[in-house]
Amino acid sequence: MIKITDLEKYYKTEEVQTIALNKLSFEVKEGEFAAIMGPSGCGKSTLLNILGMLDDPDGGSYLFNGIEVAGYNERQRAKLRKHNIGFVFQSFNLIDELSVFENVELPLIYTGVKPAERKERVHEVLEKMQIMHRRKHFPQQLSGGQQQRVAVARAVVNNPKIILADEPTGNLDSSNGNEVMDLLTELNEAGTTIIMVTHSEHDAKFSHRIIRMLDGQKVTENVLV
Amino acid sequence: MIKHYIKIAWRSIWNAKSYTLINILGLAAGLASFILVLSYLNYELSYDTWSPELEKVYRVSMKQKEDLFEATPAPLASFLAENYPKVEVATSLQGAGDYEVPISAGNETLYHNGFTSSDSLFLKVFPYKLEQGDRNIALNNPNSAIISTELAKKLFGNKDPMGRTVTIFNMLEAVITGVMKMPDTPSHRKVHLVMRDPNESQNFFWNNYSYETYIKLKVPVTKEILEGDINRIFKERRLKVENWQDEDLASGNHPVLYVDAVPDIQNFPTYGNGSINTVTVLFILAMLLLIIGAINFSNLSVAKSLGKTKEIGVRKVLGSGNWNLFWQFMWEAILQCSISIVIAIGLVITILPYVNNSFGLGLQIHSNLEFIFQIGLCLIVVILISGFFPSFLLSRFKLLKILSGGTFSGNKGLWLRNLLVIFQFTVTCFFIISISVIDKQLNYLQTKDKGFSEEQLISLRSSQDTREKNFEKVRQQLLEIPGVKTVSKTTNVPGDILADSSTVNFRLNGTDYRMNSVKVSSDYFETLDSPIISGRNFRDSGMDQHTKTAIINETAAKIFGIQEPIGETIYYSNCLEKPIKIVGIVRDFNVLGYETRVQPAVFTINNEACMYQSGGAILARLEAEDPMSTIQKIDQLWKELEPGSPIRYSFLDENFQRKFASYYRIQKVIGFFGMIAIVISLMGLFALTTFTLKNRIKEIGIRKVLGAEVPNIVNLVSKDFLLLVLVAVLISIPIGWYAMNKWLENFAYQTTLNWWIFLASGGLVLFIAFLTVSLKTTQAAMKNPVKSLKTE
Repeated sequence: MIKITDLEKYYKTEEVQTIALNKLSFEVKEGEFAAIMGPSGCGKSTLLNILGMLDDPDGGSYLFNGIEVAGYNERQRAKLRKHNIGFVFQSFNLIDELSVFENVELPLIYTGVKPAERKERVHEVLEKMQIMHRRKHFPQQLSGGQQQRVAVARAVVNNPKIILADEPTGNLDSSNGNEVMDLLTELNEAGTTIIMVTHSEHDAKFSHRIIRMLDGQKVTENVLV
Repeated sequence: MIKHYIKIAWRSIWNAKSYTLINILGLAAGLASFILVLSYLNYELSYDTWSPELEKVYRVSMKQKEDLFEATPAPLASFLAENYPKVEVATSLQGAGDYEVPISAGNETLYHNGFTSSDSLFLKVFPYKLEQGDRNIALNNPNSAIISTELAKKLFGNKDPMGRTVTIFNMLEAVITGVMKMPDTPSHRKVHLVMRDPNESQNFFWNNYSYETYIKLKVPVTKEILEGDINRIFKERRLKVENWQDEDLASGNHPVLYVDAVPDIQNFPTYGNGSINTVTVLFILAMLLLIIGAINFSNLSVAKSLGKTKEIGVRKVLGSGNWNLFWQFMWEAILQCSISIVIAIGLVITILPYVNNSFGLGLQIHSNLEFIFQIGLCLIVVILISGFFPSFLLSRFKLLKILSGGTFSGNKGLWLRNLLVIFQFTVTCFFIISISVIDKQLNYLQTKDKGFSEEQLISLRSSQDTREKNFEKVRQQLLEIPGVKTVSKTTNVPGDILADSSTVNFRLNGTDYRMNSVKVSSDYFETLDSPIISGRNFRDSGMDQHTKTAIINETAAKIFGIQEPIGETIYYSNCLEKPIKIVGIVRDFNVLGYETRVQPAVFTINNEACMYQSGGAILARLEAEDPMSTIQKIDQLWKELEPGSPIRYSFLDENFQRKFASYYRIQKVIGFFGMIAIVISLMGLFALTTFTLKNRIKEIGIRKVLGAEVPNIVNLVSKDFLLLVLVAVLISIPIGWYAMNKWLENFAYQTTLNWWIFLASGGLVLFIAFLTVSLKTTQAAMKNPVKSLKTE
């Protein structure tokens, strides 16, 4: 599903060049649930941005479903992204002006799905996430756990091939956190590939494999299942 | 998708109510001013467009060197019709225009403008529609007349006017043979009663310069071709016949004809300024106002965007392209601008009657296609100005920058935002400078010595008999009324709206000098309280009463250029057999207002030196105590003197005020625009400060923790904005100086443009800008830093 080889990313200021990713290589297969761990500044978020096609690498190869996307421009990346990748953020990133229903509907609008079908799919996913009764509420009227459920619903509504989750439980208490992790596990079991960045050993245990990073490089890789 | 855009736009507007209110009201005020001036411009441009036939109609006038004559010789119309094959028909007419003449029907007399006497071809040239009567024969009979529906209603009420008799000037009788429908658009000449010229049989004198000539061509031609053709014919077949000297003809020292197409007379006359100049200036100012309203919108949208970075980032991650985001923000602009325009139209409809009343206009908000198109175009331009830049900027936020901490500072658009603020305040400061200078100039004119005492001085319009033949008797009767101090007459009433600025040649020592010739009675200067500064005043007897002596004004004395004019002999240049001795010099006094310098004037009594002058009015100086009761007594006397003609009097000081009416109107408009400009700019600055503070709240908290005090914080935030306002002030000063100098060129007497006007205007703008910024900043600076840091 995803194969990166010798991936490099630098950040340059006028005087200093910082290496964020240093010839990083690994593979994530379809249907896999991988966790990426490491201390702050080790390059986890940079990696996730590149995997999510929000950013492009400075060197190396990135094969997505067998297609080399390392040289893609913004427009090509955006097109590939909106049809294949769902995002879950630590801070939920719901749009305050939109209701639960409308937040979840948004990716379908951008992929040009017809209104009737949109309604059906949004309802389906809201039912699945057990927040149908909250569909008319606005994000600020929900608890953190509920907000993250909406965010997950929004991430999966387009049936993405892969979900990238950036510390999905970081802003939640343990019980809400567990609920979200259970959700992700269910999705994975239903066939969705998941790559999750986390600081939490507890959360990482939900994955099949933990990739540990330091200074932009892979240090260890533990297979859990 | 559009539904989604509108929904989001509406919620965004609703969630930031105060911001939205500032945006919408600012824009609505700008739009309302713009729509008003736009309808004024439309009104001006609609002059004489009521029939396409008018495009073939031209007014023919004459000039000789610098002198322009709109009045042309009586036979010119028929001469052109006979000699120039391109002319379809030509008419000569005399019109009273704005001057009100007494028109009677039965016992009813009223004074009305728009009286015209013409030959029978009037309706062939001017395509007025007749509601009643046959246009082909309506003016065929010598005493026939056509009347406007408006005047007919005033004179006859609901009775049928056809066949009824009207009397004009209490002596000319005419029978109504047609009723004209008033045209839909205004016309350069008022026409309410057209009477077949009673003196038509005398119209064959080429030296009778008292007719206006209009020709209608078979097909329109260019002005250049037309003027070339008619001047060639005029020179060959007329001037040479009149034995004009070859050298004069060669040197151009002969009458030349020039034309104005009728639709151009009001706004684009060949000579002089059309009223379009004023309207154009107003239009530009209104456009500036609209632009600063739109700039507010643009600036505030960018400022507001600081809180929208997260939303933009999320939308991009979820698959929104730049184009989607661009349209999302554009829809916000579209929605707000549309609300603004609805409010603006409401405002215009509300204040239109007031504007019409104080400007003497007949503006209407038309729902015709052209006006709707103009408003639509204006809306599109405003949406583009106000929405394009923020939408473009916002849609191009760098995704990663937002995701890596959302620290988008808006710096990218900062230079443009700064430019827009500078532009806004340049316009505002320009308005304040203009208001100050206009106030100062009008104040200067108000208080300027007119050279005579205008208090309690009235002019009485009268019939020619009262003024000429019976004057001495009338004067005595008036003087017998308690409260009347002095009585005299003049052909040129100071401050009169129709004051005579024409000049004739006077000869002194073989040289001709062009001067204003004024006929007066002996105690004219005494009535005016204008002192004789050299020589003597007129006396009631002897040579003075037979046009053998003259008093000249100071300007005339200067122009004659001799050390001691008293005792010198002058002549009307066309009357060298009648010597006139200068017996006194009167102090210059103002007759025409302040747009022209005091003209050189020669005052004589009676018409015994070839030239006949009449007209003007009787002047009476009243006692200061209870002048209205004196006027009532004069009114009683008038009923005996001119039965059937109601008294018409005016105070000279009020007449002078009326001369300034157009400038007072400009003062009002600029004042109004200036106020709106200030309010819009300050509202914008206030909102901009609010958003900036929101963005810097953490910085302010940290600074406070590190020891900064409230004034330091106020200084920190205010200085950036005040610097922009200062730049604006510096830019506006030379522009204001230039524009006001140009405006002052309208006046012969100008106030000085002191440096302190500019300093004070700039200071005022800076001060109110500082107040606005510091008000909000102080509030923010006084907040507990712990709170703001915690929020972060």
